[in-house]
Amino acid sequence: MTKKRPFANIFLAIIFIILYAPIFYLIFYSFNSGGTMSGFDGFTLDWYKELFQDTRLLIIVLNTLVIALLSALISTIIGVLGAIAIRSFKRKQQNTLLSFNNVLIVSPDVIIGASFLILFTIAGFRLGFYSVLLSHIAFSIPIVVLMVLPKLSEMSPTLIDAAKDLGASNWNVLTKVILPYITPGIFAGFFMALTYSLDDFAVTFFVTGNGFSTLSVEIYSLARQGISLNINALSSLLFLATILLVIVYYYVTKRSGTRGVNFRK
Amino acid sequence: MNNKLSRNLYMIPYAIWILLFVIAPILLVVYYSFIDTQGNFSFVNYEKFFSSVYLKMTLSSFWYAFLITLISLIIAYPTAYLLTKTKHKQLWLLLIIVPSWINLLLKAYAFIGIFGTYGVANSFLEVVGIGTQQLLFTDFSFIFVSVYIFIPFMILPIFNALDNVNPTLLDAANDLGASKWTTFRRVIFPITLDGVKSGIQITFIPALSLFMLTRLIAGNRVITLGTAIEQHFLVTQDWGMGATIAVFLIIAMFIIMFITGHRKRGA
Amino acid sequence: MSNTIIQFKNVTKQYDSDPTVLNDVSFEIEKGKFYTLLGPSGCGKTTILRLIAGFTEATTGEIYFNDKRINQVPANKRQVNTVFQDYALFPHLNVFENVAFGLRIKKMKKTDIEAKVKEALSFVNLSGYEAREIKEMSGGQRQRVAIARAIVNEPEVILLDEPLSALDLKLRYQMQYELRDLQKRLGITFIFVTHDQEEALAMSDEIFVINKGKIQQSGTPNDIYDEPINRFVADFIGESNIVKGTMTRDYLVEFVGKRFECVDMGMNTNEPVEIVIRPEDLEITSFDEGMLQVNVHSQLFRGVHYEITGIDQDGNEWLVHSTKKANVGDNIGLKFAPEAIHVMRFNETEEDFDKRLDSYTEGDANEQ
Repeated sequence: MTKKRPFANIFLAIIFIILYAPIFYLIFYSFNSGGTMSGFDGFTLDWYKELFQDTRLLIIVLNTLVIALLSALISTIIGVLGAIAIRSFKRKQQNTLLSFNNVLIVSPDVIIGASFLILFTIAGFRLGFYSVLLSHIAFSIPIVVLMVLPKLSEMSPTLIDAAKDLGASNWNVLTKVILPYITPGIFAGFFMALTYSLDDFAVTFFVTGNGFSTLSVEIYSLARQGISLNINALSSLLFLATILLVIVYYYVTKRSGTRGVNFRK
Repeated sequence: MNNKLSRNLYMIPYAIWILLFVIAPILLVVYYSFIDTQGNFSFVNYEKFFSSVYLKMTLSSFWYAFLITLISLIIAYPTAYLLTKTKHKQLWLLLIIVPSWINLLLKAYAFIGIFGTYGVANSFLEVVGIGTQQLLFTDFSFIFVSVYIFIPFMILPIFNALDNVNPTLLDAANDLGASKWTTFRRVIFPITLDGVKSGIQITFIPALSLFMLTRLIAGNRVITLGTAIEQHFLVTQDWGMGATIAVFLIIAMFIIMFITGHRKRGA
Repeated sequence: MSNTIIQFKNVTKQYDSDPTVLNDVSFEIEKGKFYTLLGPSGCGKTTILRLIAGFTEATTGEIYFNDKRINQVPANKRQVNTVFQDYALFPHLNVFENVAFGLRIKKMKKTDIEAKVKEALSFVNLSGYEAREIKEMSGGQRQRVAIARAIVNEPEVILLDEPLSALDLKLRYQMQYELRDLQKRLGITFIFVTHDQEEALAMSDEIFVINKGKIQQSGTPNDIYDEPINRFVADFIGESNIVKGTMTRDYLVEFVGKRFECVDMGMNTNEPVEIVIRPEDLEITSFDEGMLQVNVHSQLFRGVHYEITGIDQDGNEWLVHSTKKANVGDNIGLKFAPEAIHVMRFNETEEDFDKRLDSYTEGDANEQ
């Protein structure tokens, strides 16, 4: 289409500018020596230096990463097995299970957070690392299931029949046929779980105790105190990390052939 | 058959998850909604919820959510439509989605700077000649930032729906004498309605419940259901009342899902 | 030692409370023959295959394999291998690994696996394709890989579930020859499922015609084509003209208001029956010489023959395959030999039917 449509292009341009302006605004001021997000006084890397000397913040970053990796790993294992089990049920039961599965996906974060807080308190579970980890596993499992299920339903049931026909035991069927076949779905699920965990604020905010904090919660409490260009420096780094992650994700999914774009809630 | 055995084995951790983290939390929230501040069973929370203070709060929360959803839709639909007409549409779509991957709090934080008394927004108003305004902590800033955050989520399902419209349908409509506008109204829009509904669902429910935005951007001027729940659980420690509001939020969620529900097509 | 390898005894298959898929089916399969299960979709032929393979369990009845009851033996422990309709090749494995799958499960030695896979692939004319991905193979080639994957395990029975249905016509003909040839070379039992009657007639030693969960008729392709047991079989196998008639007495049958000599006997006097005459058994002749008089309604040129439909004075439609040409609108005569008339009794069991036919041949022998 070579038709010129100046209005359409201007409209799209404005949308893109609005979407990206705040992000670049943040990054821009992370180099401001003035200490505010208005009036650029001069270029400095002080905020980055300060960031890397802040051991407390670095520990929080580490916590966030550990929680994300662990919760993604565990929820992927449980979710993949769950998805395989769901597929072997009859259609009606599948739908019931899927409704349960989707409850946590459509539930607002506040409700997940509040109800988990009640759960942990009633169970006498101490709030801290483990309550956050469990919560992250809990809200990541349904996403993994949803990422894996399409791959499973795409797989012709005769493949499993064929494997059994050739003498494969149930374990053989799982490890030699099903898992290799759904590998792209498993990767996508793991990746989604990772980003859900990294991005989560509300649920963590409810179930984290006094001693434990993740990056999102930390940013919130810093932001409530007003502007501090440490956060800007941090956000530039996070932006870079996000872009990197997106590129890696697209590279992985392109190669393994999963189609479609997904994003977090 | 041993098929069933292995299936049940796979099912165990998943079933435990459903019991512990799906069913139990919902039951606990419902249970707590009947507990008053002294720890006794009572309906006092429900009585309070139907008092004018809470009803007004609920109503205003719905009003804001409605506004946010409507504005997002008005901006997102043409954007999605124009995106499907671009040359490298998948790339452009990706660029639309990238901001949604950035941590929500960072985006909110950016707007604290932008809408601040000396921020760019005010500098711009100054230049235009309107003069400095109080932007942060207003309804306007709350709605603006919310729309900003939800737009990518609204665009994606609409884009996918538009992208799936078979182009021969448009030729057919043309062939049958439909004008561009008629084609849109009678063919394109009805076909993409499912995408619009998903977009509404994905926007409206979080718009009812987001609490960090009201805290950071609206400065407690706007109280959504989400803010109220957070307030009761983490500030006033009145879990019973918080749970009651949560119950109503859950009910609202089911109603919205029912209204916007459609045949599941996978994400 | 008996020659029977598979035996079904009163097997019924029913899912939940749905109507039965298979209804009290009994049959025997012998070693080294090419069998075809033929029937329309949903008739239960694939269910029989799945019961033999072990993918599903019989609701009631017994299934024997080499005289051992195998109802409870899981699929992975059975001595049969299947070629699936969609081939069910593992997309994440290449050709070699697909064929080697069953051998690897058996933990066979690497060198043995290599030799066997090579041999199996050369059997299906795919030598040199070992490293190919399944994506890169054409439909016909995938078909061969699926067959190689089955035969490499040296099963006693190979089950083929409509394996040719996805191929184009030319390739299908070629594969029919190859499959038949392969079965002869291997000398093992093939059980082939299809809804294509031509395929069944061309390839089989024995055909089971199945409809509505019951075996309607079993026999060699010739038997089934020449002596269909009932209207369904006559209609399903080949093309046929079917009219109502009455058996006046032995060797005399009445239909379309006329009496004709025939070769059938042993029925009640004036028993109502159905008459089948194959279109190629009808011969065009002059109007006056015709045993039937019809008006030519349409004519299509089919390459080898003309397909002519004529309508008699009673309104019955007669399909004729003839190398002679007719003209639409003409009145023509049709003639046929007494042997061309096949008489079918209503609700006759296969057992009675076979007995009746056997008595004819005895009768023929006596006459000679």
